[in-house]
Amino acid sequence: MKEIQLENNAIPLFRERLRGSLGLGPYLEQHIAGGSLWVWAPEVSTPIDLGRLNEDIFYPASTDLESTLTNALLRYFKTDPSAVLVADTAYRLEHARPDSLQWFSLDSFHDPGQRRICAFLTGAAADEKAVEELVAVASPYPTTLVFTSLTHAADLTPGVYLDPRNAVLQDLVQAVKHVLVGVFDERTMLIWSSAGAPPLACLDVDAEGLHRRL
Amino acid sequence: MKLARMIMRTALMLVAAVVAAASARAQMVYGISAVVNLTDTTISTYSATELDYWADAYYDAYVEGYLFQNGWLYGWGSASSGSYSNIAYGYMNKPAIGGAVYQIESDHYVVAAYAYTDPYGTPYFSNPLGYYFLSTGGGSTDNAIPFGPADGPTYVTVQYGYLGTTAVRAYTPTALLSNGSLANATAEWSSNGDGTYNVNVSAPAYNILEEYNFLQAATVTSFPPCTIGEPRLCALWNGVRVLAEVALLAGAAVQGLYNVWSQRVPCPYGWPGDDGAVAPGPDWTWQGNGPPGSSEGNWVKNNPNGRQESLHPDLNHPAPKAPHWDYKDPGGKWWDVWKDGTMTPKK
Repeated sequence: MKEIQLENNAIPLFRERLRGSLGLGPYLEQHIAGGSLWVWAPEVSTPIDLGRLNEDIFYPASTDLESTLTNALLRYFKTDPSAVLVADTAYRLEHARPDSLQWFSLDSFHDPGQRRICAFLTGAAADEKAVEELVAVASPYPTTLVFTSLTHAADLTPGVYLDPRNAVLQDLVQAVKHVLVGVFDERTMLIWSSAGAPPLACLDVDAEGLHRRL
Repeated sequence: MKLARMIMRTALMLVAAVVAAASARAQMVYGISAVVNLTDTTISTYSATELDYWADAYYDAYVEGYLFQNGWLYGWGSASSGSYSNIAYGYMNKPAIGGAVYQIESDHYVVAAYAYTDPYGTPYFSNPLGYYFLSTGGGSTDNAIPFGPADGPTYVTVQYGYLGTTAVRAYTPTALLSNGSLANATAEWSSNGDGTYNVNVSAPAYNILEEYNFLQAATVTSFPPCTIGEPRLCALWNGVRVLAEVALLAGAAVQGLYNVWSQRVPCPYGWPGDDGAVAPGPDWTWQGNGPPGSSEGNWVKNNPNGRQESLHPDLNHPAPKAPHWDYKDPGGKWWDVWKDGTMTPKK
Protein backbone atom coordinates (compact mmCIF):
# COMPACT_ATOMS: atom_id res chain seq x y z
CA MET A 1 0.00 0.00 0.00
CA LYS A 2 1.08 3.52 -0.63
CA GLU A 3 -0.04 6.71 1.04
CA ILE A 4 -0.38 9.70 -1.20
CA GLN A 5 -0.97 13.14 0.20
CA LEU A 6 -3.82 15.06 -1.33
CA GLU A 7 -4.12 18.78 -1.55
CA ASN A 8 -6.41 20.32 0.99
CA ASN A 9 -9.01 21.04 -1.65
CA ALA A 10 -9.95 17.41 -1.19
CA ILE A 11 -11.20 18.10 2.33
CA PRO A 12 -14.72 19.09 1.21
CA LEU A 13 -14.94 15.78 -0.57
CA PHE A 14 -13.81 14.01 2.55
CA ARG A 15 -16.34 15.83 4.70
CA GLU A 16 -19.10 14.97 2.28
CA ARG A 17 -18.15 11.33 2.46
CA LEU A 18 -18.02 11.50 6.23
CA ARG A 19 -21.48 13.07 6.34
CA GLY A 20 -22.85 9.95 4.71
CA SER A 21 -21.71 7.56 7.41
CA LEU A 22 -24.10 6.14 9.94
CA GLY A 23 -22.69 6.66 13.43
CA LEU A 24 -19.93 8.88 14.80
CA GLY A 25 -18.79 10.11 11.39
CA PRO A 26 -21.31 12.94 10.96
CA TYR A 27 -20.47 14.25 14.44
CA LEU A 28 -16.91 14.83 13.23
CA GLU A 29 -17.70 16.80 10.12
CA GLN A 30 -17.30 20.22 11.73
CA HIS A 31 -14.12 19.02 13.37
CA ILE A 32 -12.45 18.23 10.06
CA ALA A 33 -10.49 21.34 9.21
CA GLY A 34 -6.83 21.84 8.60
CA GLY A 35 -4.70 18.80 9.08
CA SER A 36 -3.75 16.71 6.09
CA LEU A 37 -5.52 14.33 3.79
CA TRP A 38 -4.23 11.18 2.25
CA VAL A 39 -5.36 8.41 0.04
CA TRP A 40 -4.27 4.95 0.95
CA ALA A 41 -3.99 3.21 -2.35
CA PRO A 42 -2.53 0.05 -3.82
CA GLU A 43 1.04 0.52 -4.87
CA VAL A 44 0.36 0.07 -8.55
CA SER A 45 -1.65 3.15 -9.30
CA THR A 46 -1.79 6.06 -11.60
CA PRO A 47 -1.72 9.54 -10.09
CA ILE A 48 -4.89 10.33 -8.23
CA ASP A 49 -7.19 12.69 -10.05
CA LEU A 50 -9.81 14.19 -7.80
CA GLY A 51 -12.10 14.67 -10.74
CA ARG A 52 -11.92 11.04 -11.47
CA LEU A 53 -12.27 9.20 -8.21
CA ASN A 54 -13.08 5.91 -9.80
CA GLU A 55 -11.77 2.67 -8.54
CA ASP A 56 -11.03 1.38 -12.00
CA ILE A 57 -7.84 3.37 -12.13
CA PHE A 58 -6.43 0.93 -9.61
CA TYR A 59 -7.40 -2.31 -11.22
CA PRO A 60 -5.98 -4.86 -11.46
CA ALA A 61 -3.63 -3.98 -8.65
CA SER A 62 -3.77 -6.85 -6.24
CA THR A 63 -3.74 -5.88 -2.61
CA ASP A 64 -4.39 -7.61 0.64
CA LEU A 65 -6.27 -4.76 2.19
CA GLU A 66 -7.54 -6.71 5.17
CA SER A 67 -4.18 -7.69 6.58
CA THR A 68 -2.66 -4.30 5.81
CA LEU A 69 -5.50 -2.55 7.55
CA THR A 70 -5.42 -4.89 10.52
CA ASN A 71 -1.72 -4.30 11.01
CA ALA A 72 -2.13 -0.54 10.73
CA LEU A 73 -4.90 -0.52 13.33
CA LEU A 74 -2.90 -2.67 15.73
CA ARG A 75 0.03 -0.30 15.41
CA TYR A 76 -2.17 2.58 16.47
CA PHE A 77 -2.83 0.93 19.82
CA LYS A 78 0.87 0.42 20.38
CA THR A 79 1.56 4.12 20.00
CA ASP A 80 -0.99 5.30 22.53
CA PRO A 81 -2.18 3.37 25.60
CA SER A 82 -5.30 5.54 25.75
CA ALA A 83 -6.18 4.84 22.12
CA VAL A 84 -9.79 4.20 21.16
CA LEU A 85 -10.86 2.99 17.75
CA VAL A 86 -14.48 3.49 16.72
CA ALA A 87 -16.27 1.94 13.74
CA ASP A 88 -19.66 3.04 12.45
CA THR A 89 -21.96 0.07 11.95
CA ALA A 90 -25.31 -0.63 10.31
CA TYR A 91 -26.76 -1.81 13.63
CA ARG A 92 -29.59 0.05 15.25
CA LEU A 93 -30.26 -0.37 18.94
CA GLU A 94 -32.95 -2.98 18.40
CA HIS A 95 -30.77 -5.26 16.26
CA ALA A 96 -29.14 -8.41 17.63
CA ARG A 97 -25.37 -8.07 17.77
CA PRO A 98 -22.48 -10.49 18.27
CA ASP A 99 -21.89 -11.08 21.98
CA SER A 100 -18.23 -10.24 21.67
CA LEU A 101 -18.88 -6.77 20.28
CA GLN A 102 -18.07 -3.73 22.41
CA TRP A 103 -20.40 -0.91 21.48
CA PHE A 104 -21.99 2.34 22.49
CA SER A 105 -25.07 4.00 21.08
CA LEU A 106 -25.69 7.56 20.03
CA ASP A 107 -28.47 9.51 18.37
CA SER A 108 -28.70 9.10 14.64
CA PHE A 109 -27.49 12.28 13.04
CA HIS A 110 -29.90 11.87 10.16
CA ASP A 111 -32.92 10.10 11.64
CA PRO A 112 -34.19 11.83 14.79
CA GLY A 113 -35.38 9.39 17.39
CA GLN A 114 -33.24 6.56 16.07
CA ARG A 115 -30.16 5.30 17.86
CA ARG A 116 -27.17 3.96 15.98
CA ILE A 117 -24.56 1.54 17.25
CA CYS A 118 -20.84 2.26 17.09
CA ALA A 119 -18.40 -0.56 17.74
CA PHE A 120 -15.26 0.35 19.61
CA LEU A 121 -12.01 -1.08 20.79
CA THR A 122 -9.64 0.13 23.48
CA GLY A 123 -6.00 -0.70 23.96
CA ALA A 124 -6.70 -3.21 26.67
CA ALA A 125 -8.82 -5.34 24.37
CA ALA A 126 -6.94 -4.79 21.15
CA ASP A 127 -5.52 -7.85 19.51
CA GLU A 128 -5.59 -9.11 15.93
CA LYS A 129 -8.84 -10.98 16.38
CA ALA A 130 -10.59 -8.02 17.98
CA VAL A 131 -9.41 -5.65 15.26
CA GLU A 132 -10.62 -8.02 12.54
CA GLU A 133 -13.98 -8.25 14.28
CA LEU A 134 -14.25 -4.46 14.40
CA VAL A 135 -13.49 -4.14 10.69
CA ALA A 136 -15.94 -6.94 9.91
CA VAL A 137 -18.86 -5.18 11.60
CA ALA A 138 -18.01 -1.77 10.14
CA SER A 139 -20.73 -0.70 7.77
CA PRO A 140 -19.48 0.02 4.25
CA TYR A 141 -20.46 2.81 1.87
CA PRO A 142 -18.78 4.44 3.50
CA THR A 143 -16.63 2.44 5.89
CA THR A 144 -15.77 4.88 8.69
CA LEU A 145 -13.03 4.21 11.23
CA VAL A 146 -12.21 6.87 13.81
CA PHE A 147 -8.86 6.95 15.63
CA THR A 148 -9.26 8.81 18.87
CA SER A 149 -8.37 8.48 22.54
CA LEU A 150 -9.68 8.91 26.07
CA THR A 151 -7.62 9.75 29.10
CA HIS A 152 -9.59 7.16 30.98
CA ALA A 153 -10.68 4.52 28.55
CA ALA A 154 -12.78 2.98 31.28
CA ASP A 155 -15.10 5.97 30.94
CA LEU A 156 -16.41 4.36 27.80
CA THR A 157 -18.58 1.64 29.25
CA PRO A 158 -19.79 -1.02 26.80
CA GLY A 159 -23.48 -0.53 26.04
CA VAL A 160 -23.57 3.09 27.20
CA TYR A 161 -25.76 5.67 25.49
CA LEU A 162 -23.91 8.87 24.67
CA ASP A 163 -26.24 11.78 24.16
CA PRO A 164 -24.91 14.74 22.15
CA ARG A 165 -23.92 16.65 25.32
CA ASN A 166 -22.24 13.69 26.96
CA ALA A 167 -18.72 14.56 28.08
CA VAL A 168 -17.27 11.26 26.91
CA LEU A 169 -18.68 11.80 23.43
CA GLN A 170 -17.26 15.29 23.33
CA ASP A 171 -13.89 13.98 24.47
CA LEU A 172 -13.93 11.34 21.76
CA VAL A 173 -14.63 13.98 19.13
CA GLN A 174 -12.08 16.46 20.42
CA ALA A 175 -9.31 13.88 20.58
CA VAL A 176 -9.73 12.57 17.04
CA LYS A 177 -6.36 12.03 15.41
CA HIS A 178 -7.19 10.19 12.20
CA VAL A 179 -10.33 9.26 10.31
CA LEU A 180 -10.50 6.67 7.55
CA VAL A 181 -13.39 6.56 5.11
CA GLY A 182 -13.75 4.05 2.34
CA VAL A 183 -13.68 4.99 -1.33
CA PHE A 184 -13.17 3.13 -4.59
CA ASP A 185 -15.44 0.19 -3.81
CA GLU A 186 -14.28 0.46 -0.21
CA ARG A 187 -10.96 -1.05 -1.22
CA THR A 188 -9.07 2.18 -0.73
CA MET A 189 -9.22 4.64 2.13
CA LEU A 190 -9.22 8.39 2.33
CA ILE A 191 -7.46 9.31 5.53
CA TRP A 192 -7.62 12.59 7.36
CA SER A 193 -5.02 13.34 10.02
CA SER A 194 -5.47 16.22 12.45
CA ALA A 195 -2.96 19.04 12.50
CA GLY A 196 -1.62 17.93 15.85
CA ALA A 197 -1.07 14.36 14.83
CA PRO A 198 2.12 13.23 13.15
CA PRO A 199 0.97 12.52 9.60
CA LEU A 200 0.09 8.90 9.63
CA ALA A 201 3.24 8.00 11.48
CA CYS A 202 1.31 5.53 13.53
CA LEU A 203 0.16 3.86 10.34
CA ASP A 204 3.68 3.17 9.18
CA VAL A 205 3.81 5.52 6.23
CA ASP A 206 6.75 5.10 3.95
CA ALA A 207 8.77 8.17 3.08
CA GLU A 208 8.08 7.85 -0.62
CA GLY A 209 4.37 8.09 -0.01
CA LEU A 210 4.74 11.06 2.27
CA HIS A 211 6.43 13.16 -0.35
CA ARG A 212 4.27 12.33 -3.27
CA ARG A 213 1.92 15.18 -4.06
CA LEU A 214 -0.57 15.61 -6.81
CA MET B 1 -2.69 -20.54 -41.66
CA LYS B 2 -0.32 -19.68 -38.90
CA LEU B 3 2.32 -18.98 -41.50
CA ALA B 4 0.02 -16.56 -43.26
CA ARG B 5 -0.66 -14.81 -39.99
CA MET B 6 3.00 -14.63 -39.18
CA ILE B 7 3.64 -13.02 -42.52
CA MET B 8 0.85 -10.54 -41.90
CA ARG B 9 2.15 -9.78 -38.45
CA THR B 10 5.70 -9.42 -39.62
CA ALA B 11 4.60 -7.19 -42.42
CA LEU B 12 2.74 -5.04 -39.98
CA MET B 13 5.77 -4.62 -37.85
CA LEU B 14 7.56 -3.26 -40.87
CA VAL B 15 4.84 -1.21 -42.35
CA ALA B 16 4.04 2.30 -41.32
CA ALA B 17 0.62 3.82 -41.31
CA VAL B 18 -1.30 6.77 -40.29
CA VAL B 19 -1.68 8.39 -36.95
CA ALA B 20 0.33 10.84 -35.04
CA ALA B 21 0.70 10.54 -31.34
CA ALA B 22 1.68 12.78 -28.55
CA SER B 23 4.87 11.84 -26.85
CA ALA B 24 5.14 10.64 -23.29
CA ARG B 25 4.94 7.67 -20.92
CA ALA B 26 2.49 4.78 -20.65
CA GLN B 27 0.84 2.79 -17.92
CA MET B 28 -1.48 0.01 -18.95
CA VAL B 29 -2.99 -1.60 -21.98
CA TYR B 30 -5.95 -3.89 -22.37
CA GLY B 31 -6.22 -6.56 -25.02
CA ILE B 32 -9.67 -7.95 -25.67
CA SER B 33 -11.08 -10.75 -27.77
CA ALA B 34 -14.69 -11.63 -27.31
CA VAL B 35 -17.55 -13.49 -28.92
CA VAL B 36 -20.41 -11.23 -28.01
CA ASN B 37 -23.13 -13.20 -29.74
CA LEU B 38 -23.24 -16.63 -31.32
CA THR B 39 -26.14 -18.66 -32.63
CA ASP B 40 -26.40 -21.37 -35.26
CA THR B 41 -26.85 -18.65 -37.85
CA THR B 42 -24.84 -15.60 -36.80
CA ILE B 43 -21.65 -14.70 -35.00
CA SER B 44 -20.51 -11.35 -33.65
CA THR B 45 -17.03 -10.78 -32.35
CA TYR B 46 -15.23 -7.92 -30.73
CA SER B 47 -11.54 -7.09 -30.77
CA ALA B 48 -9.94 -4.16 -29.04
CA THR B 49 -6.71 -2.69 -27.85
CA GLU B 50 -7.38 -0.12 -25.19
CA LEU B 51 -4.83 2.21 -23.67
CA ASP B 52 -5.38 3.82 -20.34
CA TYR B 53 -5.38 7.56 -19.84
CA TRP B 54 -1.65 7.90 -19.49
CA ALA B 55 -0.67 5.51 -22.20
CA ASP B 56 -3.01 7.28 -24.56
CA ALA B 57 -1.24 10.54 -23.91
CA TYR B 58 1.86 9.19 -25.55
CA TYR B 59 0.90 6.35 -27.84
CA ASP B 60 -1.97 5.22 -30.02
CA ALA B 61 -3.62 1.83 -30.16
CA TYR B 62 -4.06 -0.59 -33.01
CA VAL B 63 -5.79 -3.96 -33.26
CA GLU B 64 -6.21 -6.69 -35.82
CA GLY B 65 -8.91 -9.31 -35.50
CA TYR B 66 -8.88 -12.69 -37.22
CA LEU B 67 -11.98 -14.86 -37.21
CA PHE B 68 -11.61 -18.57 -37.91
CA GLN B 69 -14.39 -21.00 -38.78
CA ASN B 70 -13.49 -24.62 -38.13
CA GLY B 71 -9.85 -23.62 -38.26
CA TRP B 72 -9.98 -21.66 -41.50
CA LEU B 73 -9.67 -17.93 -41.76
CA TYR B 74 -13.20 -16.64 -42.14
CA GLY B 75 -12.70 -12.90 -41.88
CA TRP B 76 -10.38 -10.27 -40.57
CA GLY B 77 -10.27 -6.59 -39.89
CA SER B 78 -8.18 -3.92 -38.28
CA ALA B 79 -8.71 -0.66 -36.47
CA SER B 80 -6.65 2.23 -35.21
CA SER B 81 -7.51 4.47 -32.31
CA GLY B 82 -6.34 7.63 -34.01
CA SER B 83 -4.94 10.46 -31.97
CA TYR B 84 -8.21 11.43 -30.35
CA SER B 85 -9.26 8.12 -28.86
CA ASN B 86 -7.66 5.65 -26.51
CA ILE B 87 -9.25 2.56 -27.99
CA ALA B 88 -8.89 0.73 -31.27
CA TYR B 89 -11.77 -1.68 -31.70
CA GLY B 90 -13.88 -3.45 -34.21
CA TYR B 91 -16.77 -5.85 -34.48
CA MET B 92 -17.24 -8.60 -37.01
CA ASN B 93 -20.74 -9.76 -37.78
CA LYS B 94 -20.95 -12.74 -40.08
CA PRO B 95 -23.25 -15.66 -40.87
CA ALA B 96 -22.59 -18.77 -38.79
CA ILE B 97 -23.08 -22.45 -39.49
CA GLY B 98 -24.69 -24.67 -36.91
CA GLY B 99 -22.17 -27.15 -35.62
CA ALA B 100 -19.17 -25.04 -36.48
CA VAL B 101 -16.51 -23.91 -34.05
CA TYR B 102 -15.33 -20.31 -34.19
CA GLN B 103 -12.22 -18.67 -32.94
CA ILE B 104 -11.50 -14.97 -32.73
CA GLU B 105 -7.91 -13.91 -32.37
CA SER B 106 -6.77 -10.34 -31.89
CA ASP B 107 -3.30 -8.97 -32.27
CA HIS B 108 -2.61 -5.91 -30.16
CA TYR B 109 -0.21 -3.11 -30.88
CA VAL B 110 0.82 0.27 -29.53
CA VAL B 111 1.76 2.87 -32.08
CA ALA B 112 4.70 5.17 -31.62
CA ALA B 113 4.92 8.43 -33.49
CA TYR B 114 7.68 9.41 -35.81
CA ALA B 115 10.26 11.70 -34.19
CA TYR B 116 12.86 12.51 -36.79
CA THR B 117 15.03 11.05 -39.53
CA ASP B 118 18.78 11.10 -39.24
CA PRO B 119 21.06 12.26 -42.07
CA TYR B 120 21.30 8.69 -43.33
CA GLY B 121 17.55 8.39 -43.78
CA THR B 122 16.89 6.21 -40.75
CA PRO B 123 13.65 7.08 -38.99
CA TYR B 124 13.53 7.47 -35.22
CA PHE B 125 10.40 7.19 -33.11
CA SER B 126 9.05 8.74 -29.98
CA ASN B 127 9.27 6.18 -27.19
CA PRO B 128 9.52 8.10 -23.93
CA LEU B 129 9.09 5.03 -21.76
CA GLY B 130 11.63 3.04 -23.67
CA TYR B 131 9.41 0.06 -24.46
CA TYR B 132 11.71 -2.71 -25.46
CA PHE B 133 9.35 -3.89 -28.15
CA LEU B 134 9.65 -0.56 -29.92
CA SER B 135 12.74 0.50 -31.73
CA THR B 136 13.80 3.90 -30.49
CA GLY B 137 17.00 3.90 -32.44
CA GLY B 138 15.55 3.67 -35.87
CA GLY B 139 16.06 0.79 -38.24
CA SER B 140 12.43 0.17 -39.07
CA THR B 141 11.28 0.44 -42.61
CA ASP B 142 8.27 2.63 -42.91
CA ASN B 143 5.87 3.33 -45.68
CA ALA B 144 4.18 6.62 -45.09
CA ILE B 145 0.59 6.94 -46.20
CA PRO B 146 -1.61 10.00 -46.51
CA PHE B 147 -2.94 11.43 -43.32
CA GLY B 148 -5.02 14.41 -42.39
CA PRO B 149 -7.97 16.12 -43.99
CA ALA B 150 -8.42 19.22 -46.04
CA ASP B 151 -5.05 20.74 -46.80
CA GLY B 152 -3.86 17.86 -48.85
CA PRO B 153 -1.96 14.78 -47.77
CA THR B 154 0.29 14.96 -44.78
CA TYR B 155 2.61 12.02 -44.41
CA VAL B 156 3.20 10.65 -40.95
CA THR B 157 5.34 7.66 -40.27
CA VAL B 158 4.71 5.54 -37.23
CA GLN B 159 5.98 2.36 -35.73
CA TYR B 160 3.90 -0.53 -34.48
CA GLY B 161 4.93 -2.34 -31.32
CA TYR B 162 3.45 -5.80 -31.06
CA LEU B 163 2.10 -6.37 -27.55
CA GLY B 164 0.56 -9.79 -27.81
CA THR B 165 -2.46 -11.76 -28.88
CA THR B 166 -5.72 -12.69 -27.24
CA ALA B 167 -8.06 -15.40 -28.45
CA VAL B 168 -11.23 -17.19 -27.54
CA ARG B 169 -12.97 -20.16 -29.12
CA ALA B 170 -16.74 -20.48 -29.15
CA TYR B 171 -19.07 -23.30 -30.04
CA THR B 172 -22.41 -22.85 -31.73
CA PRO B 173 -25.25 -24.41 -29.73
CA THR B 174 -25.34 -27.37 -32.11
CA ALA B 175 -21.61 -27.90 -31.83
CA LEU B 176 -21.73 -27.61 -28.08
CA LEU B 177 -24.37 -30.31 -27.75
CA SER B 178 -23.02 -32.66 -30.40
CA ASN B 179 -19.35 -32.52 -29.54
CA GLY B 180 -18.42 -35.71 -27.72
CA SER B 181 -15.89 -33.99 -25.51
CA LEU B 182 -18.59 -31.71 -24.26
CA ALA B 183 -21.17 -34.45 -23.80
CA ASN B 184 -21.55 -33.70 -20.13
CA ALA B 185 -22.22 -30.06 -20.72
CA THR B 186 -25.55 -28.71 -19.69
CA ALA B 187 -26.39 -25.88 -21.95
CA GLU B 188 -29.47 -23.77 -22.06
CA TRP B 189 -29.77 -21.30 -24.84
CA SER B 190 -32.61 -18.89 -24.95
CA SER B 191 -33.48 -15.90 -27.04
CA ASN B 192 -34.30 -12.60 -25.42
CA GLY B 193 -36.34 -11.74 -28.47
CA ASP B 194 -34.23 -8.73 -29.27
CA GLY B 195 -31.46 -10.42 -31.14
CA THR B 196 -29.55 -11.31 -28.03
CA TYR B 197 -29.31 -14.70 -26.42
CA ASN B 198 -28.60 -16.12 -23.03
CA VAL B 199 -26.52 -19.15 -22.41
CA ASN B 200 -26.02 -20.99 -19.17
CA VAL B 201 -23.47 -23.71 -19.32
CA SER B 202 -21.78 -25.98 -16.84
CA ALA B 203 -19.03 -26.83 -19.29
CA PRO B 204 -17.15 -24.41 -21.46
CA ALA B 205 -19.01 -23.07 -24.43
CA TYR B 206 -16.04 -20.80 -24.72
CA ASN B 207 -12.46 -21.90 -24.54
CA ILE B 208 -9.74 -19.60 -23.53
CA LEU B 209 -6.79 -20.48 -25.67
CA GLU B 210 -3.80 -20.74 -23.49
CA GLU B 211 -1.36 -20.69 -26.34
CA TYR B 212 -2.53 -17.31 -27.53
CA ASN B 213 -3.59 -15.24 -24.60
CA PHE B 214 -0.73 -13.14 -23.54
CA LEU B 215 0.52 -9.64 -23.51
CA GLN B 216 4.24 -9.68 -23.27
CA ALA B 217 4.43 -13.22 -21.90
CA ALA B 218 1.46 -13.00 -19.54
CA THR B 219 -0.95 -15.91 -19.74
CA VAL B 220 -4.58 -16.47 -18.92
CA THR B 221 -5.46 -20.13 -18.66
CA SER B 222 -9.11 -20.16 -17.75
CA PHE B 223 -12.16 -18.01 -17.96
CA PRO B 224 -15.74 -18.55 -16.90
CA PRO B 225 -18.70 -18.52 -19.26
CA CYS B 226 -21.63 -16.25 -18.63
CA THR B 227 -24.67 -14.63 -20.09
CA ILE B 228 -24.07 -13.10 -23.45
CA GLY B 229 -25.75 -10.13 -25.00
CA GLU B 230 -23.93 -7.32 -23.29
CA PRO B 231 -20.73 -6.52 -25.10
CA ARG B 232 -18.90 -4.87 -22.24
CA LEU B 233 -19.73 -7.62 -19.81
CA CYS B 234 -19.01 -10.28 -22.34
CA ALA B 235 -15.73 -8.72 -23.20
CA LEU B 236 -14.82 -9.96 -19.76
CA TRP B 237 -16.81 -13.15 -19.60
CA ASN B 238 -17.33 -14.62 -23.03
CA GLY B 239 -13.96 -13.59 -24.17
CA VAL B 240 -10.71 -12.76 -22.68
CA ARG B 241 -9.38 -9.48 -21.55
CA VAL B 242 -5.70 -9.51 -21.05
CA LEU B 243 -4.70 -6.53 -19.10
CA ALA B 244 -1.15 -5.59 -18.49
CA GLU B 245 1.14 -2.89 -17.38
CA VAL B 246 2.97 -2.34 -20.60
CA ALA B 247 6.38 -2.50 -19.14
CA LEU B 248 7.28 -5.04 -16.49
CA LEU B 249 4.20 -6.13 -14.60
CA ALA B 250 2.31 -7.93 -17.31
CA GLY B 251 2.65 -11.38 -15.84
CA ALA B 252 1.69 -10.34 -12.35
CA ALA B 253 -1.34 -8.39 -13.48
CA VAL B 254 -2.81 -11.13 -15.60
CA GLN B 255 -2.00 -13.81 -13.10
CA GLY B 256 -3.78 -11.75 -10.46
CA LEU B 257 -6.82 -11.56 -12.67
CA TYR B 258 -6.76 -15.29 -13.21
CA ASN B 259 -6.37 -15.97 -9.52
CA VAL B 260 -9.52 -14.01 -8.84
CA TRP B 261 -11.58 -15.83 -11.46
CA SER B 262 -10.38 -19.19 -10.25
CA GLN B 263 -11.90 -18.50 -6.83
CA ARG B 264 -15.37 -18.04 -8.23
CA VAL B 265 -18.16 -19.58 -6.12
CA PRO B 266 -21.96 -19.38 -6.22
CA CYS B 267 -23.36 -16.36 -4.42
CA PRO B 268 -25.77 -17.49 -1.68
CA TYR B 269 -28.30 -14.99 -3.01
CA GLY B 270 -27.61 -15.46 -6.71
CA TRP B 271 -27.73 -12.29 -8.76
CA PRO B 272 -29.45 -9.73 -6.50
CA GLY B 273 -31.08 -7.98 -9.44
CA ASP B 274 -30.67 -5.33 -12.07
CA ASP B 275 -32.23 -2.57 -10.01
CA GLY B 276 -30.17 -1.45 -7.04
CA ALA B 277 -33.15 0.39 -5.56
CA VAL B 278 -35.02 -2.87 -5.10
CA ALA B 279 -34.23 -4.97 -2.03
CA PRO B 280 -32.47 -8.24 -2.81
CA GLY B 281 -35.07 -10.03 -0.68
CA PRO B 282 -37.70 -9.52 2.02
CA ASP B 283 -35.12 -9.71 4.82
CA TRP B 284 -33.01 -6.88 3.51
CA THR B 285 -33.38 -3.26 4.59
CA TRP B 286 -31.61 -0.20 3.26
CA GLN B 287 -29.17 1.32 5.76
CA GLY B 288 -27.65 4.54 4.63
CA ASN B 289 -28.09 8.23 4.23
CA GLY B 290 -28.59 8.12 0.50
CA PRO B 291 -31.71 6.82 -1.20
CA PRO B 292 -31.93 3.04 -1.78
CA GLY B 293 -29.52 1.95 -4.46
CA SER B 294 -27.34 5.05 -4.15
CA SER B 295 -23.65 5.21 -3.37
CA GLU B 296 -24.31 6.01 0.29
CA GLY B 297 -25.61 2.94 2.02
CA ASN B 298 -26.18 -0.76 1.71
CA TRP B 299 -28.89 -3.38 1.73
CA VAL B 300 -28.38 -5.04 5.10
CA LYS B 301 -29.63 -8.37 6.39
CA ASN B 302 -29.69 -8.94 10.14
CA ASN B 303 -29.21 -12.57 11.10
CA PRO B 304 -30.43 -14.12 14.36
CA ASN B 305 -26.85 -14.63 15.55
CA GLY B 306 -26.22 -10.91 15.28
CA ARG B 307 -24.07 -11.19 12.18
CA GLN B 308 -24.94 -8.77 9.42
CA GLU B 309 -24.51 -9.13 5.70
CA SER B 310 -24.58 -6.27 3.26
CA LEU B 311 -25.13 -5.92 -0.47
CA HIS B 312 -24.31 -2.75 -2.35
CA PRO B 313 -25.23 -2.29 -6.03
CA ASP B 314 -22.51 -1.14 -8.38
CA LEU B 315 -24.40 -1.53 -11.62
CA ASN B 316 -22.90 1.32 -13.62
CA HIS B 317 -19.33 0.50 -12.99
CA PRO B 318 -16.89 1.82 -15.56
CA ALA B 319 -14.81 -0.61 -17.55
CA PRO B 320 -12.75 -2.64 -17.14
CA LYS B 321 -14.86 -3.95 -14.29
CA ALA B 322 -18.30 -5.21 -15.20
CA PRO B 323 -21.50 -4.25 -13.33
CA HIS B 324 -21.65 -6.09 -10.05
CA TRP B 325 -22.90 -6.05 -6.46
CA ASP B 326 -20.52 -5.73 -3.52
CA TYR B 327 -21.24 -8.35 -0.92
CA LYS B 328 -19.87 -8.31 2.62
CA ASP B 329 -20.52 -11.71 4.12
CA PRO B 330 -21.31 -12.42 7.80
CA GLY B 331 -17.60 -12.87 8.50
CA GLY B 332 -16.75 -9.48 7.01
CA LYS B 333 -15.22 -10.89 3.85
CA TRP B 334 -15.76 -8.93 0.65
CA TRP B 335 -16.98 -10.32 -2.66
CA ASP B 336 -17.95 -9.11 -6.12
CA VAL B 337 -21.23 -10.68 -7.23
CA TRP B 338 -21.55 -11.16 -10.98
CA LYS B 339 -24.57 -11.35 -13.18
CA ASP B 340 -24.38 -15.11 -13.57
CA GLY B 341 -24.95 -15.52 -9.82
CA THR B 342 -21.36 -16.30 -8.95
CA MET B 343 -19.01 -14.21 -6.88
CA THR B 344 -15.29 -13.68 -6.60
CA PRO B 345 -13.35 -12.40 -3.60
CA LYS B 346 -12.38 -8.78 -3.77
CA LYS B 347 -8.69 -8.17 -4.04
